[in-house]
Amino acid sequence: MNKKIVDNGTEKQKETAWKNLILTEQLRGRRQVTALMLVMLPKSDKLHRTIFDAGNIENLPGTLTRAEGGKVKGGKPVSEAYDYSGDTYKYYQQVHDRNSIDGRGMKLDSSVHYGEDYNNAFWNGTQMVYGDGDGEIFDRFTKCVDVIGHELTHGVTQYEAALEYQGQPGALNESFSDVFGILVKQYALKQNVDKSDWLIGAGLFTKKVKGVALRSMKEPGTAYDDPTIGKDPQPGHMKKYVKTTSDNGGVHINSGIPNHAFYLAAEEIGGFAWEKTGKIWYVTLRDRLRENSDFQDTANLTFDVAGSLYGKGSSEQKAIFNAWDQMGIKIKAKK
Amino acid sequence: MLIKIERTGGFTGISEYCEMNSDDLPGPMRKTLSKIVNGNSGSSRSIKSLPKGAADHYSYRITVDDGSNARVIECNQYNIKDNLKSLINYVEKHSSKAK
Repeated sequence: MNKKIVDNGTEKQKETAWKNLILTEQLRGRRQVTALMLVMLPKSDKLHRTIFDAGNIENLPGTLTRAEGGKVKGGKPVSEAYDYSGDTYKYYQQVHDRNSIDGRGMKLDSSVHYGEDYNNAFWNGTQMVYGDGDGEIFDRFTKCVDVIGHELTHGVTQYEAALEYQGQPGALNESFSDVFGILVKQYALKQNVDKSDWLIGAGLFTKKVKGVALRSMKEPGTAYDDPTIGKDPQPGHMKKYVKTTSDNGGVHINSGIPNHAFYLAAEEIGGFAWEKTGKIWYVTLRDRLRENSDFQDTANLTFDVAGSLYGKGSSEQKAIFNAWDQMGIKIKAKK
Repeated sequence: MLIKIERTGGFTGISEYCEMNSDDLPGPMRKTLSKIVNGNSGSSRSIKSLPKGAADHYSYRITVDDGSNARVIECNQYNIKDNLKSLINYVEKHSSKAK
């Protein structure tokens, strides 16, 4: 029926029918077919941001507060959500030639002031949501550009590899968000691998907390150690992989391993991390990973992608090999 | 009965634990608790209950222990029933923090 509408329907009906056909192909995992079909959909080339004020209750999206190109108003959370979404869009467009979350100019919707004393930010499959923090442990969650880059990247992952949010695929989902979160920050500040602090959420904690950030890609497990919230639980090697039923199988814990692999590869390659290591990671996410890919798959695929982009046996490919090897994962190269 | 609440996940990955004796609950909350104990609050923490692509949400594990039997309910912020959410909010506000 959708195919008949594509041939004979109105423009609006055609768009809906194409979207249904694309969704069917996506569900079947036929990404090459999906990519061809996506070309048929109308798209926007422009950044299009909308910020809502959730009014400190847990209903979405809230009241429209700032539209694209609209007057600056609503205080810091609104400006930060607006500006840092823009930075994330620019990163993906300028570095990876990607037009927004879905690659087709999808609107970037954010709600701020979500809930009361809400110590969280999340992506709900459609939009970003940010709390104000309780002022005791956390400051507002729009404060850090890497947090916004992290949340938006969950959207990118949703439209690409769609990594399942549990176990190793879930930890990879989290890691790709940390990786591109930090790259958005590095790109905005023009930081090379040595200048970057490689910290996720630096500045989110209040001064009462003994910690510098939520996670450290450079030294997993060292970001915080505080009597109230405990110690940073992230492992930096497969030997210390955490088996748990909490947090969907520890997706925010075990992301420390692929995070550290990215850091090590970027350090060995040097320069600006988005140029080569970021490109390898992006191509892997966009073209190679599947919903149930695990750490070993990611190691093998990033190695293979590095070989395709920079040559087999290149220094870039060796850096990928060394990084995963230091994590306790030996690459199994394609023959 | 002892009510234990564990909240995990979220962008921070920092879990929170709290507990309270059911004797300290107001009347309507005890009704909710009785529904939980009798198995009427079916939810799931399974990823199949999530919106497509969702990430950094909260997951909950509620344990109700009468000393001889422990009933466990698992859910997430998308499928949690309103009365269970109210119970959790009450316990979080009025309880001692457990470790």
